[in-house]
Amino acid sequence: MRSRAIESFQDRLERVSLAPLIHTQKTYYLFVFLLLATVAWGLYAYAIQLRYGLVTTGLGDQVMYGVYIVNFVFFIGISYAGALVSAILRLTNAGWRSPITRISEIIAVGGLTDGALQPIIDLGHPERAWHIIAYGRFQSPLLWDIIAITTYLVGSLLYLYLPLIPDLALARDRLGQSASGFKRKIFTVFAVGWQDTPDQRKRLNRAIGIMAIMIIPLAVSVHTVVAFIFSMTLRPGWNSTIYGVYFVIGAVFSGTAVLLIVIAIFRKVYHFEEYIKEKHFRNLGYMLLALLLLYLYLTFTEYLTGGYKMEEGEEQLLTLVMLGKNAPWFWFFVIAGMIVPAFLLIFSKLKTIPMVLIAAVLVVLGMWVKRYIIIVPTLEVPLMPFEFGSYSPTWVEISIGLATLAGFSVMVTLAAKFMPLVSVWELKEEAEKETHHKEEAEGQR
Amino acid sequence: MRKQDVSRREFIKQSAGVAGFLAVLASPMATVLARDKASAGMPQEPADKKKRAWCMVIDLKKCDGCVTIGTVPQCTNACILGHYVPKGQQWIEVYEDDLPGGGKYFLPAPCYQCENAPCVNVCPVAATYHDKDGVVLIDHRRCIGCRLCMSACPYHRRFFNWGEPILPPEAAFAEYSPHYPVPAVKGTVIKCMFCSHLLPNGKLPFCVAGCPMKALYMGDLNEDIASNGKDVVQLSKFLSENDAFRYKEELGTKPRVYYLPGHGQTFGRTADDPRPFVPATWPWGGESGFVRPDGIFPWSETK
Amino acid sequence: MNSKWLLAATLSILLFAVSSAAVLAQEPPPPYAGVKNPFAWNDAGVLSAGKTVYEQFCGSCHGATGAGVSAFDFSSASYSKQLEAKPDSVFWALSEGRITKGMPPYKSTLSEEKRWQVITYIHSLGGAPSTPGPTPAATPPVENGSLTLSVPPAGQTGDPVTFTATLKDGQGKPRTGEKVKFLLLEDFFARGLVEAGEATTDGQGVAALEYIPRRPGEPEVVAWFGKLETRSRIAIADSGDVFYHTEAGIRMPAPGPEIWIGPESAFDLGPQGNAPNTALRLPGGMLSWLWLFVLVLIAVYVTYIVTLYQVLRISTVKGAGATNASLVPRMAILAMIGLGVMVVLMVITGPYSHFHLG
Repeated sequence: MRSRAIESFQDRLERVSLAPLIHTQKTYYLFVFLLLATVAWGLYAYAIQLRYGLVTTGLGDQVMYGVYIVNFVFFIGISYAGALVSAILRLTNAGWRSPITRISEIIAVGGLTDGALQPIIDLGHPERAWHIIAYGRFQSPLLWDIIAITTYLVGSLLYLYLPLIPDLALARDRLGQSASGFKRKIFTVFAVGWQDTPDQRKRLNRAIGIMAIMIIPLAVSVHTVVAFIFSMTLRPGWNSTIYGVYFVIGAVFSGTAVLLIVIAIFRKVYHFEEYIKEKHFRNLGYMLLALLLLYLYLTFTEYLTGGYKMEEGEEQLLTLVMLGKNAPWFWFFVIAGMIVPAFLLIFSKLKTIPMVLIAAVLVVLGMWVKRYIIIVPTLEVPLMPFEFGSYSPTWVEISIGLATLAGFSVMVTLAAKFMPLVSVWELKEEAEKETHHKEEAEGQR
Repeated sequence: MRKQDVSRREFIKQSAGVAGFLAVLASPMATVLARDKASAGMPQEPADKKKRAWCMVIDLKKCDGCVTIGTVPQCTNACILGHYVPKGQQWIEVYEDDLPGGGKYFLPAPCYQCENAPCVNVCPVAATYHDKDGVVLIDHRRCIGCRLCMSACPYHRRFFNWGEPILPPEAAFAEYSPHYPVPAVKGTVIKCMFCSHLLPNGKLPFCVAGCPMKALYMGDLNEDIASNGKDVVQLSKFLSENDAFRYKEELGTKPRVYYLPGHGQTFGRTADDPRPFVPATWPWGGESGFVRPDGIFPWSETK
Repeated sequence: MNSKWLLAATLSILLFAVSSAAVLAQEPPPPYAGVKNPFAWNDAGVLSAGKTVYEQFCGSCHGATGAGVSAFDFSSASYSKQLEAKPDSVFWALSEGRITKGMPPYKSTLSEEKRWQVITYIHSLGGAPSTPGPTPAATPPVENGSLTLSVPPAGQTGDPVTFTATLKDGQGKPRTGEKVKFLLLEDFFARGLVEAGEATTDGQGVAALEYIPRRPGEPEVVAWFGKLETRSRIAIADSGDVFYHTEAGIRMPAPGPEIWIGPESAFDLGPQGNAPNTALRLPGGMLSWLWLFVLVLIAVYVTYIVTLYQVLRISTVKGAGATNASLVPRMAILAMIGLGVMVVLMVITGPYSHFHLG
C-alpha cells in the first residue's frame, strides 16, 4: 500500500521535472540567444580561418597546437562526467545517483560532440577529413582516436537514450496539448511505445545493464588514446608512459567538477532542490577530493621522473613551466586548481554547497590551464639549437574557443527542453524502495 | 625478408579477384580508384630506375656557415630559390651550436629522411611515406593538415603552410609532384625531399650543388658511394675514417644524414670565430610569407 | 597544358636573354672600372700568396687546378688572355660576387691586396692540365720502375674480385713491403677517383686487393705507387643484390607473411611519387593480430545492436499501440551496422607507406 505522502511526492516529481519542457522563461530565451550569438560569431571566425587558413591563428611551425587541441582534450575530458560517473555509480548501485545520471549523460554527449569537433577545426584541410576513412592507417594514433571517439560517442548517446525511454513516454502521456506538436511527435517516436509493462521493464533494465558495463572500458580507451596522440611522440614531457592513466584520471576529475557546476545551475533554475540534495554535493565533493589527490599524485610522479633525470629537453621544459614564461599558468594550476580546492573540499562540511561549488569552478579552470600546460610549453621547447617558441592565441582562436564553450552550453541548455532532466522513473523506483523498506521495518516492529 | 616480399607479390597477383571484391566493399575506395586512373600515365620516366638508398653526408669541417664569405648560407639560399620555398621556411637550415669548450660550430639540417621515421609512423592518411629510395615524401593532395607529423618529428624539420603562400608568378608554372612540391599548398605540411626530382637524372640537390665549400655530399648507401659534385668517395670508408655521427642517434630514428664533426676548420674558421651567420632571405613572401587578413574583417588583406 | 608550357618557355628564354645581355654588356661600375693589377703577372711571391688564398677560398668550387666541376673554368689559356685584357671585370666579379650563379662576394672577406694576389694566381692557372680526382700523396718516388695492373675482365656486384699490381724497380727486381693504392674512376654526380683500398707488395712485388664491387658499370681501375700509375678496365654486372638493408622496428615472429591486397596504385608510387592507395592489410597473415582489434570492435558494435534489439522488442510488445514505434530502434540498428562495418574496414584497410623496407 502506498501512503499519501508518496503519492504526492510522485505527483510533485512529475510536475517539477516536466515543467521545463512546457514552460520557458524569458531569461532562458535571452540566455540561449546570447549563446547562439557567440556560436555565430565563432562560425564567422571559422569562416575567416577557412578563407585564409590557419595563418589567422597564433600557431607557428614550432608551437603547432594551441587552443583548439587544448579544448579537444578538455571537452573530451568533460564527457567523462557523464558516462563514467553515472556508469560506475549505477554498477555500484549507489541509490543517490538517480537524480544526477541524466544530467551527467547529457554532459557526456555534449562534451564529446564538442571535443570531437576540435581537431577538425584544427585541420589545415577540413574538407579532406574523409581521407581518414578512405586512407586511414591503423598505425596512426589519430586513427585510434577517431575509432575510439566515434564508438564512445555512439555508446554515450545510447546510454543517454535508454534510461530516457520511460521518461519520454511520461512526457508523451502527461504533457498532452501543453507541448507543441513537434515536441509531441518527438516524444512519441522516441518513446518507442513504452507502456511500462513488466516485459518492457525487464528488457530495458537488461539493455541499461549491458551499456553500464560497456561504457566504462570505452571511456577509459578514449582518453587513453587521446593521451597517446601526445605520448607517441619524441617530445620532452609528452614522451611519458604515465600519460594514458594521467589523462583518464584528469578527465574523470574535470568531468566530476563540471557535473557539479551543471547540477547546481539546473537545481537552482528548475527547483530540483528536493531531488538534488546537499547529499549529492557532499558525495560528489568527496569523489572530487579523492580524484584530486589521485591527480596530484600523478602530477607529482610525472614531474619527478622527468625532473630527477634532467634530460636536456626536460630541463628546459621544467624551467619553462615552473620558472619561465608559463610559470603563472603552472602555479595557478597548482595553487588555485589543486591546493585551494583540496582545502575547500576537506572543510566542506562547514557550508557544503558553496564550498564544493567554488572548488569545482576552480578545478575546471585549473584543469583547462593544466591542459594548456601539457600542450603548449612542450612545443615551445626547442628541438634543435635555436630559440624557444612562443604562442599567443589570436581573436580567431579565442572566438572559436568561446563558441566551443557556448556550443557545449547550448547543447546542455536545449536538452532541458526536450527531456526531463532528472530520471523520473528511477526516482520513483527509489522512493518506492524506500517506502517499502520503511513499511517492512514498521511491520517487523 | 626478401622471401616474404616475393610471396607477398605473388599473393597480390593471385588475388586480383579478391581485390576487386574488396574495392566494391569499401565504397570510399571506389572514388580513389577512379581518381588514380585519371592521374596515371604521366610520361616523366626517370633515367635512373635503380633501387637507391639515398643519404647525405655533411662535412662540418668544411661548413663555416658561409661566414668566411659573408653571405647567407648558400645551401639554404639555393634550396629556397630552387623550390620557391615560402617565406619563413628553411627546408635546410643552418643552426649555430655551442662547442663544449666554448665557441660555435654550424650544423646544416635538411630533413633527415629517417629510416624509422616518426612522421611516417603517425600520419593518419599516408600522406607522408617512404619511397623505395628511402626518401620521405609528402603528397600535398592527400595531406589533411593535422600536423601530427610535425609534433612527432624530433628534429623540427617539417613546416606548415599556414596560409596561401606568397610566391613569385613563375612558381605557378611548376608541375606539381610529391618529388617537387611546387607551388606549396595552403594547409599542408612541407619539407625537404632530398631533391628527389633531380637525383634520378644525375643532378645533385640544390643545396649540395649550391654549397660553395663542397661540404655536402650526396650518397647511395647501397652502392657505397658519395659525391659532393667534385670528389667521389667510398661512402663507408669516408664515414668511418671521419668519425661520422648522426644527429640525436639515441632516438632510434635512424636518420640518413651523417655529419662529420668539425667547425669549418678546412677554410680557416676557428672555433672562437665570433662572426654569426647571415640569416636567410626570401626574394618573395611579402611580410609574413602568407596572405593574411588585416584585422577582423576580410575586406583588407596583407600580401 | 601546351599553352602553359609555351608561355613558360618563352618567359624563361626572354629572362635568359635579358640577363645574359645585361651581363655581357655590363662594364664594371665606377669603383672597379679600369682598375689594374698592382702586381706583376709572374711575381713569385705574389703567386704563392695567391695560391694560399685560392686554396682556402676558391678551390672548393673552382678545383685545385681551376677546372672545377660546378664553376667557371680558369684552366684554359684563353681565360688567362681574357684576364690580362680585362682584369677590372674579374676583380669586380670577385669583389661583388655573382650571387645568381653561386659566386659569393669577397670584398668583405679578402683585402684588396689579397684579391689581386689570388687573381694573379688564377692567371697562372691558364693552360694547366686538368686531372680530376685527388692528387696522389707524397710517397718516396721510384725513379724508374714499373707498375703493372691485372684486373679480371668482368665481375658482378657482390662478388669479390682481386686486383693485382706488380711493382718492380729500375733493374726489374720486385719491390717488397711497399703500399700500392687502388682506385676506381666512378661517375656519380661527378667523375672522380674512389679509393678502393691499399695492398702491400709481397716477395714477388705483387700487391693483391680483394674488393667487393657494389656499383655496376665499367669503371677504370687505377693503381698508384708514388708517381707510377697504371689503368685497366673492369666490367661489373648488376647482380640485382641489395647491399644496404633498411630496418625499422622489431621483427616479431609472425604466423605468416604480411598480406596486402589492393589495386596496383597501392604498391607503386609511380614516377610522380604519388601517395599510396588503400589496400587490405593483414600483418602476420591470415592469423593476424589485427583480428584481435577487429573482434573487440565487432563485440562492441554487436553489443550496441543487441541493446538496440532490446529497444526494438520494447516497441513491439503487445499493447505498445503507437504507430511507427519501432522506427527509432530500426534506424539505429541500421546505422550501427553501417558504422561498425566502416570502423572495421578502417582497421583492416590502409595504405602501405614504408616502401624503403625490404
